[in-house]
Amino acid sequence: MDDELETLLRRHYRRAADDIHATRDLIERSQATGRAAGPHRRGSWLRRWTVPAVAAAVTVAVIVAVTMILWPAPERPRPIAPPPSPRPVPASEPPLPTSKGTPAPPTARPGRPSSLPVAPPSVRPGDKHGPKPGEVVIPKPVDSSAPPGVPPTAGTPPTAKPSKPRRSPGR
Amino acid sequence: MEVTFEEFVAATAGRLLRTAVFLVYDRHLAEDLLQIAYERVAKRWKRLAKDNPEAYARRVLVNLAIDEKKRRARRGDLPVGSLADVERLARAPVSDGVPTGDLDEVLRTLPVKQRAVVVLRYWCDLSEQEIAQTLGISRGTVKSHTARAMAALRAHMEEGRADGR
Repeated sequence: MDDELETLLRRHYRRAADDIHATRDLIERSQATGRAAGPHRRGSWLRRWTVPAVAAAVTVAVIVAVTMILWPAPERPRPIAPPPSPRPVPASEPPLPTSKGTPAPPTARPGRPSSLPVAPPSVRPGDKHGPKPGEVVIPKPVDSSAPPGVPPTAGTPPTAKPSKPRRSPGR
Repeated sequence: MEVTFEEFVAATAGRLLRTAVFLVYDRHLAEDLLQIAYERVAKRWKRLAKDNPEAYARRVLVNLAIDEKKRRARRGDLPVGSLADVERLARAPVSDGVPTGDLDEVLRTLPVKQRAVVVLRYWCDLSEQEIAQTLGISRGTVKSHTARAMAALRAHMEEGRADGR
């Protein structure tokens, strides 16, 4: 059945092909099309890509120009100022300690919370718990008017503002 | 000796035009597609002249025919052109270089890819591998297209025999 069908199809196409002929006009038109499309390929390539390349260059230039105009100017770096203090700080005040065990100045500026422990102003010679190298010095209250029953608050400088109320040990 | 593009066109125009007509069943459209195919061949002539320009032209032609069918389906086959075109087509004979036999009616109703496989197989005498390369599909797909097309043609033949009885 398939062989018969295949033979029929081949015969059909051969017979139909006898009625289809390429005219002289079609051949000439096709040859002219080829001549128009073929010879100057390089020129056509140049023409094909000139406009997109120029368009891309102009787009990039416009984007760069707009970016340069509209981009906000960078702010000048300003030094971080300390928060306003109630009293003027003397110019001769030494800087705050930055490392452990370094003796701190006798007074700290009020209103400046600091988690760093501040060393006591001086160590008495008879004190057997004097600061050792590398040890965190726990400040002691300088105020002698404090009640004798109240122990000093550990880890809080005498004049520093406590971050949160602490309970006295033993309670 | 290398042939020129003009010689190539003169030698192949008839064969390729018939292929185009069998693919689209429209003489004017077939001529248009053939010209586009020749234009694409001409653009690559230096490279193709040493190889097989007719195979390339046939591949372009077949794929243009398949795309044209899709394009027409998208457009919904709206009539375009001037009044002069309509008059020219109205004056033209119905079978203006287009086969109008009984078998052609069945071939015309086949999906375009199945028709292309049949044309390439039984008119161009290409092997399954060559058809697969021309259409850019696998050999298995070529086989399935051929089988479906042959089934449709067989059904038509059996109908014809039944009617003849």
